[in-house]
Amino acid sequence: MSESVLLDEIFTVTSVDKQKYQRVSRITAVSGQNDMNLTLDINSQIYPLEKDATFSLQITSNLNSPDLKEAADYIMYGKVYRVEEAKDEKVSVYVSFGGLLMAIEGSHRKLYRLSLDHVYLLLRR
Amino acid sequence: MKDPIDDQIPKRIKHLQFGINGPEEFVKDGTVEVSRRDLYTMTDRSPAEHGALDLHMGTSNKQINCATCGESMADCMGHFGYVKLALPVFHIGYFKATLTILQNICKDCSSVLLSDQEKRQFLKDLRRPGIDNLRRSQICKRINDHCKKMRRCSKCDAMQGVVKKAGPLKIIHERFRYVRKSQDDEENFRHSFDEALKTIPELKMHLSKAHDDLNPLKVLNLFKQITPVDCELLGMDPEHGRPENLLWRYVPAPPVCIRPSVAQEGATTEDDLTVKITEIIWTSSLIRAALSKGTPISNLMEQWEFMQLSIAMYINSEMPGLRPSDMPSKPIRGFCQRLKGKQGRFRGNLSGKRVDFSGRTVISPDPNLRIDQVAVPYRIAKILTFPERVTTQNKKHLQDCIRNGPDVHPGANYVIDRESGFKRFLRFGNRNRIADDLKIGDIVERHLHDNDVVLFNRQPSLHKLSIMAHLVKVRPWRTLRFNECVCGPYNADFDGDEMNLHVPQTEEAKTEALELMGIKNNLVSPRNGEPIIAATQDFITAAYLLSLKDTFLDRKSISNICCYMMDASTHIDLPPPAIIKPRCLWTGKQVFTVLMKPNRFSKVLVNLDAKTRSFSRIKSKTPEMCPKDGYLMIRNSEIIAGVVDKSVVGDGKKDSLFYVILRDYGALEAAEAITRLSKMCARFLGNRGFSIGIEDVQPGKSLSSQKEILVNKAYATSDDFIMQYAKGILECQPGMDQEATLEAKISSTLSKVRDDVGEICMDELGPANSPLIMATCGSKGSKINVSQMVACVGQQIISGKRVPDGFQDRSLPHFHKNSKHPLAKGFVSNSFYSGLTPTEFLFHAISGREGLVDTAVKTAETGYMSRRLMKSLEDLSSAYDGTVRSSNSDVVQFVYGDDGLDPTYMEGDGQAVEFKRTWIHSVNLNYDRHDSAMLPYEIIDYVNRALDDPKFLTNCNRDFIETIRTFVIENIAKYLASVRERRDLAPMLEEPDMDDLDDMEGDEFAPVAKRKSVENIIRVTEKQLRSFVDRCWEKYMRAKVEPGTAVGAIGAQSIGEPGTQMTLKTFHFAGVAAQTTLGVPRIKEIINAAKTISTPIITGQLINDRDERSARVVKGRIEKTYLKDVTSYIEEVYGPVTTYLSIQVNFDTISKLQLDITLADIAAAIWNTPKLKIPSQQVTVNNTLQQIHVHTSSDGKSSETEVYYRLQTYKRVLPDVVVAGIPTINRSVINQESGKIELFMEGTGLQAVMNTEGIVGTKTSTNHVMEMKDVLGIEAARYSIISEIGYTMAKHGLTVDPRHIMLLGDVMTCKGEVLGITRFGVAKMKDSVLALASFEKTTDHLFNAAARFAKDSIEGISECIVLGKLAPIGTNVFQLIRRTEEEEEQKPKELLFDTPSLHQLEITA
Repeated sequence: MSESVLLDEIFTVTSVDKQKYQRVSRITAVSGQNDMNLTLDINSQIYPLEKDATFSLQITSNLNSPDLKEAADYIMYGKVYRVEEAKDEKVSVYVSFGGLLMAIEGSHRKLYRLSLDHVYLLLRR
Repeated sequence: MKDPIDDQIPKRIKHLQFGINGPEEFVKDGTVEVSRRDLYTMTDRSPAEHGALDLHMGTSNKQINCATCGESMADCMGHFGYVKLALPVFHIGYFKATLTILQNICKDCSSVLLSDQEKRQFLKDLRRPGIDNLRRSQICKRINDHCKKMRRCSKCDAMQGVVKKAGPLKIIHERFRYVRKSQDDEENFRHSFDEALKTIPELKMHLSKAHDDLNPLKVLNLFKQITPVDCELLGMDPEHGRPENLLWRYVPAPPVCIRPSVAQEGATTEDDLTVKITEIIWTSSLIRAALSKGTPISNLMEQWEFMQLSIAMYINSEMPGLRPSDMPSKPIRGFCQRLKGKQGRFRGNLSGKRVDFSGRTVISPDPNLRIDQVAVPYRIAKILTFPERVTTQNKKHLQDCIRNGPDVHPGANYVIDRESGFKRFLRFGNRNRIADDLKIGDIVERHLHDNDVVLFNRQPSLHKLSIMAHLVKVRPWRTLRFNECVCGPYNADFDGDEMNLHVPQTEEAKTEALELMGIKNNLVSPRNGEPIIAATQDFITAAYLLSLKDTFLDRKSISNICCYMMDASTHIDLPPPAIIKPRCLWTGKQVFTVLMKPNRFSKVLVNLDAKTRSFSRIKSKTPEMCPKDGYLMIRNSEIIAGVVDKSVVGDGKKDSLFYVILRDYGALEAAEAITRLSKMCARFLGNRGFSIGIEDVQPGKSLSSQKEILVNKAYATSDDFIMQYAKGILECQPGMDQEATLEAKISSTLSKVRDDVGEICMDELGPANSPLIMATCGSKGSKINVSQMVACVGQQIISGKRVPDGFQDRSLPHFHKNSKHPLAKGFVSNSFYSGLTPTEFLFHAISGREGLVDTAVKTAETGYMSRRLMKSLEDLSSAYDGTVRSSNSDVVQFVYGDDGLDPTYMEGDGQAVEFKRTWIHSVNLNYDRHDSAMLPYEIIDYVNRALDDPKFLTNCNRDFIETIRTFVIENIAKYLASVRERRDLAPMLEEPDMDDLDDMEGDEFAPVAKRKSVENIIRVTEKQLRSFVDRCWEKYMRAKVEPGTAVGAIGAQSIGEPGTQMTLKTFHFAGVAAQTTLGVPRIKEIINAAKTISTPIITGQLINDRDERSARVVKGRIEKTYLKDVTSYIEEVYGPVTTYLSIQVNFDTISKLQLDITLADIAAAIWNTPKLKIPSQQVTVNNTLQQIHVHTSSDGKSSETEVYYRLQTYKRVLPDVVVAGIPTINRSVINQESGKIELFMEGTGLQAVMNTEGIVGTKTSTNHVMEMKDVLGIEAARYSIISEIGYTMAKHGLTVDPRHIMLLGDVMTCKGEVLGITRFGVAKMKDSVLALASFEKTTDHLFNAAARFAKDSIEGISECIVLGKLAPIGTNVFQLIRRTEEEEEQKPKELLFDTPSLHQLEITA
């Protein structure tokens, strides 16, 4: 894992909520080892995700590596604005991409690299 | 060299001295004696000499000059004349004073009716230095009370009786009123009629009613004999205002210019005063002739009386007590009528100035203007001018203005020469030559141009924001235009409103207006510090639509929107797009990032958390994850989450965007942000479009069916309640009988229907529904409006109840009698879309009419209340020592608001700092990952050290310092320690010892993941902490009330202005105090210090506040228990020996009520009833039978009929005898709230309630201010005023800072008694004659002041306005002290250029 990659996981979509907005869906997903929970708002008009779909999620601090940008299908730029404690030694990290929100909950050993800073989100199917 | 200091100080009036003029003054001040009845001479129709229009008193004819000063009509100020009376008459204005003096003196020798010792004592009191008018009046009142009781003069021993008024302007003295038995004096008086009785025998029957007739001539002679020492005792000045001057001997004739003649063709219309003067002259001449010729006494008295009435009506034409035949057919305007009232001299002319340099026209909106601008039409700009002095910098510009002249903008109207003062009108003459000849120092009255300062005002001016300073923008067309965001403080809309424009005429006035009254410095309301200038209506709709999560913009769209809000001079940095791949897209929220921080050079970094109107909390989730995007979060000017709606950009919220910018970055940035928003929103919505159509209010199929289900269910529930009521099994709610309970239950059931249907509406209508969007974001309407349009109008409420019965036993003839069904009592189940049935339409109209009547009545009511508040509080301002003082330096509060802070700057709820937001702001502003993090003990040490700094200890009060300390320690340090503890790190709340480091507890040995994890959650650096502490201090210092602030006027407006938003009617609130008085009537009761209020309620805390049974016991002790409540029957018993009433007491009822009374107690209650007057021996007790016998009188003389009727009287009255409880309490109610029980008692009797067993006396209070004062003292009354007004305001959802209400409470109580804000209370608060005269009872105050020889020091606001003097308030508080005689010669200051070493320019390569 290179220095700029802060998180790299594969998630499976467990639910899609698209009734509130026309262009935005809120998806919930769990990681492969079932140790991370994800809630994410995506622009479903240009990047739809269905239930039970599997995707790769990366969080990086920059896009300097040319391979990153090419390989990804969907990239968002935002800010980690809060880190909170959850139960059982877990932490929740909250990120906002211009108002599109992401909440990721997992062990603090995996998520401690996410500090209050600007980050890039890269999704690949 | 010219003298740089102006030694000519303008003259100022120091004080006014009121007094009574005597004949010498009238003659000396007059220029002519008016003695002829004729107005004009017969031959040439010129004003007659010595007539009422004599030219020596001035002229009202343009062709003729004044004979005294030779000036023309426009320049002559007028001169007085005088009329010499044949006989003295009473002065109607001083009649009361005359009567009082006659009561105080002996009617034979004119000595004051006091013993020598009493005289010396009163004189000592009156001569005390520094005594004020109020105190003197009280002493004179006591003297009058003493004198009225004296029966004999201590000097000449003559008898003294009652002196009183008998008919209009007549005084009699009933000398022998108090004589008990025959005395020599009375015998002699009776004998004096013997001679008259011989000729008129009928007099004998009237002899007992004979009395002294104190006519003006007699009174005059009595007054002349009063000694100077006695004058002082009568409250008069022996040198300047002796008592004999209280009567007319000479009548002044005012100048002609205040009673001008109106000339017509060959005739004139004369003023009422002129006509009255001729009448007086004529009558006086008749009397003079009668005296010389020996006319019969009856004729003489009749003419004397007529002259008396004429002069009285000359002064006051509304004299009471006149017979109808004496009244003129049309009321005339005497002097009093010209002074009093809204159009009178005081309120119409002296207090309400008429000003030049003002304009007025219709207003229009213009979102493209900055919020501090006003667009002025060219037409107004060419008429209103500013006198600009010519300098080297502006000479060319002013020359151009002169050449343009009056008709071309920008031009000028006049030029004033500096040396000669000659004013030249630029419409005529050679403007080019005038421009060329212009010299530095001349004044050019030029047209208004852009960026001039003007005052902008809309009536009614309810608070200080009703008139604000704007910058001019001269534009074409005819209306005054301004940004819609400024509609709030003016309460302006654009349906034809007009507003006023005023142009300050000096540079100093412009600067002062801009600083104190500018828009930027008045973005918040002084009432409580909430923002009042903010986005409104369509701006909110556009901002909401733009900030939705659903809004995405490509590069050209966001660039276009940024151009909407900026002008070409602003550099814009687009933020990075939120979505980079597959396409670059920005979210709508990112537009607001540009709005707050346009480029990287801007320093505006906003940090804000707030709930919006759409927020709904979901458990176990953070608030910003709300599915409706209802929680706004901004970090460093980036919107993290949340929509922008009314609570974010509207007014009235202290966690709104513009308020935060104002607090953290100043007014300039906040105003700029508001301007950007208004320009952007107006253009965005213009392009996007926003319409409403019929499909927006069409309900869907499922909505209609669900509404039907809900309505039918409510009907069934209501029918069930009605059935229970009919059967009598409906359980009563606290404080209500069964009928009231039924009404309450049905009302709440039916009210719920509309709310439930409204919720379904919100879910069913699509997100594109226009009324729904407006209701959601708050720009217009609410969910109730949408529900009424689409689904169900709901229950109509009149006076807090369902529609009352307008016909016999039913509301309308369409329904059955006594019907209580929802449809029969005003429930409207249809919506506006589906249409109302005829009965529903009628009910809805009834409800609407109530609103209209309410609005019409309340305007006068609240306007009068505001005026009284302002009049009593206007003088108060904060002084340099932190106290609040009136204009004569009376201390009203030792520290304003108990903490010296200004409500305008309260950031939190009554607090100077909102700590949580300030902390978040400091953290985000100073976030630097390279700074080292602090440990908990280091945080605590730092904050303790910082708060011990002198700048905190000397400037901030202790509560504030402790609040900061508590916030930092509890919220930050301890939280960090707990997070560390959960990560297996040492808490570090205390500094570790050196030995502890050996135990491997230091952070250096912990795993990286744990340390990083803790720092991600909370990380505090010294820079952040210092920023936080400094910000708290800075905000506190900024919030201190400035010396000279008119805290009284602001307080009066802050309490009065919300009154206009209240309704007059009492509201129906759920709960036990359902019918208590609220709203404007309640505020009125409080500030009037009413002796009796409509719904007095005592609140009592119970010793045992968990057990309802013990609560019932206490309730039984307090509530009145009548004899009928505890009696089985009352029986008449007629026996051979005695006759009595037998009362059978029911002790089962007594034990059920848990009362603690015995037969003896009941018997005592019976004989203590004052109405019955039963002696105690007539009431006997039979303990065996539990009976009480009430016997009639054992007197054998009574007849049988008398015994019978007395028995019937007893039988009728006895059931209502109060045998237990407090008589003044009507009822009491047990109230249960969150597990705690307390008692509410309706009525008075606070002291008795406090002493009741089971009540905690120290926690009992009443809402009756006067009772609080009587029982608990003046401090309790003050607290009661403050809390009751605050409670009433809060019930209407209005927030007024407590400091304003505290000031009102202090003003009403600082004299040691509760003074109402009425004409009586204000008269006790104020010492100034002019202030009281300009309030109410104008002429009474003026006459009293003259009689008392009062001195007005012209210190208050009203007096200064009346006399055109600067009031000692605001920027006029401080005084400049300097020497006017300069002994040393002025030397020119040495300039830097004269220093040789600096003379050469240095050239650096």
